[in-house]
Amino acid sequence: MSTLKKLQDDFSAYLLTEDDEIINLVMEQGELDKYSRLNIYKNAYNVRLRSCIETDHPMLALYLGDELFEKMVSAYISEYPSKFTSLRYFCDALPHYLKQDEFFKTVPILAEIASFERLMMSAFDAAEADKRASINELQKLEPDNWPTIKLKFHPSASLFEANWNSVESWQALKNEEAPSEAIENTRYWIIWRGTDRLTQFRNIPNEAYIMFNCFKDDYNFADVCELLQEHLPEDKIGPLTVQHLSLWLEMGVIHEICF
Amino acid sequence: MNNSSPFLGFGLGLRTDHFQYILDNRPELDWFEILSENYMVDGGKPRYFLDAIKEHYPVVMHGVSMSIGSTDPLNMDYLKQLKLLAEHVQPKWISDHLCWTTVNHINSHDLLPLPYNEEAINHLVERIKIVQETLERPFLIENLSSYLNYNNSELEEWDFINEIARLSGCKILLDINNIYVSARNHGFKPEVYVDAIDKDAVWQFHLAGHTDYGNYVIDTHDHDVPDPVWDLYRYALKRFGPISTMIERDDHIPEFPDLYQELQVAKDIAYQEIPSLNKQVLSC
Repeated sequence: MSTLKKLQDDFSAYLLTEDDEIINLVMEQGELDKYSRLNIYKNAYNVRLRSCIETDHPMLALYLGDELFEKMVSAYISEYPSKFTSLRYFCDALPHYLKQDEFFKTVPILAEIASFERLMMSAFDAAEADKRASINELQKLEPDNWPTIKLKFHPSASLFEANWNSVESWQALKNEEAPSEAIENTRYWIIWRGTDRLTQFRNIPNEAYIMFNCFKDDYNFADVCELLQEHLPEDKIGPLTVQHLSLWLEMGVIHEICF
Repeated sequence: MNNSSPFLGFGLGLRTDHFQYILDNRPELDWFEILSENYMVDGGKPRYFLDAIKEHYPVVMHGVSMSIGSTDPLNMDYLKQLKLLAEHVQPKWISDHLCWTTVNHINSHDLLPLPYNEEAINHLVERIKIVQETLERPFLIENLSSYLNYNNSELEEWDFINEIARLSGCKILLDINNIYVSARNHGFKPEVYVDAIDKDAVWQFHLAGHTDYGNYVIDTHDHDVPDPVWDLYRYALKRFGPISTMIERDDHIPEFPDLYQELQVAKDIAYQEIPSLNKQVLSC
């Protein structure tokens, strides 16, 4: 092993653990002792990662409160040291951590709030599309073309299935209100970046959630309607699908209507 | 006064808080420096504003994640993304820090110091050459603020950086505040550092603020540029002549007009030290 490699291994070990072998390589200089010099780096490491978690998950931090947030931060930094070039992705495993940690998994809404915040981030910096489809395109469709239409969604659009009142709690905290007690409650949400570049989300019914997933999997309109027969009375399928399509077009969620 | 570096004039770091103000007011500014990693995303607000702003101002790209001094293999995926961004932005040059951030693929997200010795020089020169070949644009390395030195350092920091620039052909981004911070932390005279740096290698100055804890100083970029850094900047101008200069502010970011006023101070000092600068035509 090269001397430089050994130095970097030892320095990294000091940042991540209690291993202080690097102290032998640190030069004695002036009034500030060697450990104080090393600890400037160690403190900066922890402060930077803590700050990243707090910035990316502000409502989760509020939901947890100071004590539990610090407990989560400390464990996450220790168990998931960053392997990313950018801090943007450091918290990608936070929902997973909250789901499997013995302590935090007893409060499942936490992992959901974390997942929701990560999806909001993904919508914020998702790729741009060269255009968004308009309601006019739908209105101009020949009736014969309807069965074969397919949808391409804007790259920022995604779905979120919440089994707890996680989004409602997130909203309450965002509005500086106390969240309700955690309750099991399955709801579906669509998240996207609007034409004004602001990240948005909206509650959608079950059939819209199914429609979105089918279109995303390249189903055409006829296939989607057929699949919806398992979930809706036949006479409701036409009006409801058109209603959802129109709303998505208005929201700017659809990039392109194609065949 | 015979430095042959392209002189862009006086710039600022492009920060999210100022995006809309810049587009609405188009302040008279010579150039912007962007933090490359903030724009290495697929789309969204940062890319939208960057595209709009780069239509009106020259841009240089400054990174924090190259980890040029790491003993891990060079991150070629990162370099490819950086090159893609550069092809889009068309920066005048690209810079990063003379440091390491990652080892064993674990990223400290900090600018960690290197030992100043021959082993590190050889390692760095080889890697900088690959970076330059990959990016196909001028590449600058920046001196760090540091809080420790190693027993196996054999050179002074200024000799180390000169040697790397000489052997690799890269240029130097001289951070005036970092020189001051390191001088305080290691007990050398900052003027000695400025005097020792190769004149022709310096293409850019950074100015910034720091936090003074008495017996040590931390490079925080969250304060105005303090008097000792202005003094050192004045000293550096005497040695290097007109160098593209910008103010870095990363925390407690003031309103754009306040930062703009601070840049006017840098400009005024440069005009005092280099009277011919008023008449000089910018080279880029």
